[in-house]
Amino acid sequence: MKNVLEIKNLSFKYDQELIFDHLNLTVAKNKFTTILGTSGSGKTTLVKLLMGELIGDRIVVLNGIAVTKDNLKQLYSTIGTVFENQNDIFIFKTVLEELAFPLENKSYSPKQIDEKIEALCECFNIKHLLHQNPNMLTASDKELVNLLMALIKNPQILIIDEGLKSLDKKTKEKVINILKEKIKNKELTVLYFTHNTEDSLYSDDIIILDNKNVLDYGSKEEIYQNEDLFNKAHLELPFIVDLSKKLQFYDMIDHDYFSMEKMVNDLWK
Amino acid sequence: MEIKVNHVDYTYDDKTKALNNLNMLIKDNTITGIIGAKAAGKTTLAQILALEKFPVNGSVQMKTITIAKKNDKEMIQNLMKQIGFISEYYNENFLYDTVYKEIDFMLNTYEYVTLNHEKRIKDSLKIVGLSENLLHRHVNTLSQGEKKKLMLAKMLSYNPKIIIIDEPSLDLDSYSQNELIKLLRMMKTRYHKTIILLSKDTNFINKLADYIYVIEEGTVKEEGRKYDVFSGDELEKTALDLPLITSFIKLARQEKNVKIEYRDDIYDLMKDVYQSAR
Repeated sequence: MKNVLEIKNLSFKYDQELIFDHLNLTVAKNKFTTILGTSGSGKTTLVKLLMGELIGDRIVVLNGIAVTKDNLKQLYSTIGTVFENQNDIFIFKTVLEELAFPLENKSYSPKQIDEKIEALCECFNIKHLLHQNPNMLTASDKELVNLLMALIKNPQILIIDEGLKSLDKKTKEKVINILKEKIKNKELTVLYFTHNTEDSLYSDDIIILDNKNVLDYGSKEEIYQNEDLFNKAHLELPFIVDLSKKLQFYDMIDHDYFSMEKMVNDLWK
Repeated sequence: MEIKVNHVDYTYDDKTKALNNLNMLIKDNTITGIIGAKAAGKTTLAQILALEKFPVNGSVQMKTITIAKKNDKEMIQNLMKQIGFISEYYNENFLYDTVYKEIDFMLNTYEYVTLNHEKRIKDSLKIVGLSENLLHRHVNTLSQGEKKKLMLAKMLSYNPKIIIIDEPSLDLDSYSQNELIKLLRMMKTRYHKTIILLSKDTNFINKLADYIYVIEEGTVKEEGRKYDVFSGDELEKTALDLPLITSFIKLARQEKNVKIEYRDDIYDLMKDVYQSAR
């Protein structure tokens, strides 16, 4: 299976209004794909179609499974989701219970659960949060716990809908590095839905969504070539890519840079 | 309206000290940026400035009125009509009714006097860039960005003199962020409002703050004009990131000893790089 997601000619109506009109979309397996679009471009509606929460006029195939009512249980067992701030997403009184719950449902032994949580503590430095009330945490910590609840199940696919927006930069980079490591080991595929163009620098592939249409998709190197595309979708290029374009115009550099350090090094040898 | 924060302490029930001898002067008709990493005390400070919490020690002075640990209820209620506040957790502050009713509720609660409620509601939507077509839509059907703009519309509807927003750029794409910057500048210059923005998004604050306070562990670590604060060394000691453009310039200056100026605008930076590196 080369593609983790296939959507062919899907149309979707909501209350008589046509939202998606013959949508075509494929996402490669074992890659970090960012679906970039402004507020209202259709990101969350698309996520709901992937999750079977909404049904269009064509079958969506996710992770080789047809997204239909009968298959949802099987589908959800392979997917982890990280959605943006919902009120009352935490049902337990401690972070520890929240993290253990997804595993208890999957019949891990108490010892295995402890080991997994210990591993997360080591990796993400969250030991001090374990016995706190998750609803009382700062926005950044809530988001981290939400993400860890998805990761602890070892999902094959991680779907993130703006779920990293409150993380401080260091935590976000740590999270992304770990996701990329898993992707490299062919253990994970990430679909990251966001309007934050800076975050697209982390990804392998980019899909540009504008007003419920896929404008283009490809590797990030390819997509960044097309400035007009970003303008059309009301998106700004990432700072370092924007600066790269401007300096290329004056022949100061000959390609797009994704790292400030590399660009500074090359400009002032 | 000038606001003075005098030696404010705030301790939570579980003994966490969120604010520790905090002192600030917010000048009338300015845009002040209060920046800090997570758990710096930003949200607690926002709640105190918005009169949702009161200092455990110290006081806040707004014009001639002093707010301390205990206050006259009526005085606070009157003062609140002059303050508009958007919390980081603004999703909790909707009625979860139609757009029309959400704004109408604010006009009634804050006793905004107008002969034409409907016009005031439509104008509030217009000013934040939301379509009139959304008037009878339920809040649940809006995208997150639209919800954020609706909260802005609710806050502005009763014409508060002081605007306080905790994490203003949250949930706004770059296009909407630029629209918000224009809106806040207009609120300052045309409507003479005093604006306080609390944020960890230094890129956003860099674009419009007149004056900046850096807070960490509930106290002021640094203050000044944005050029001084962002180009200095204090900020790097906190968990905050510099604006991207400032990071780049700092890197060039420190790693390569290049003498380029601190700039706000990428076009100015481009010219400087061209001069320096060719």
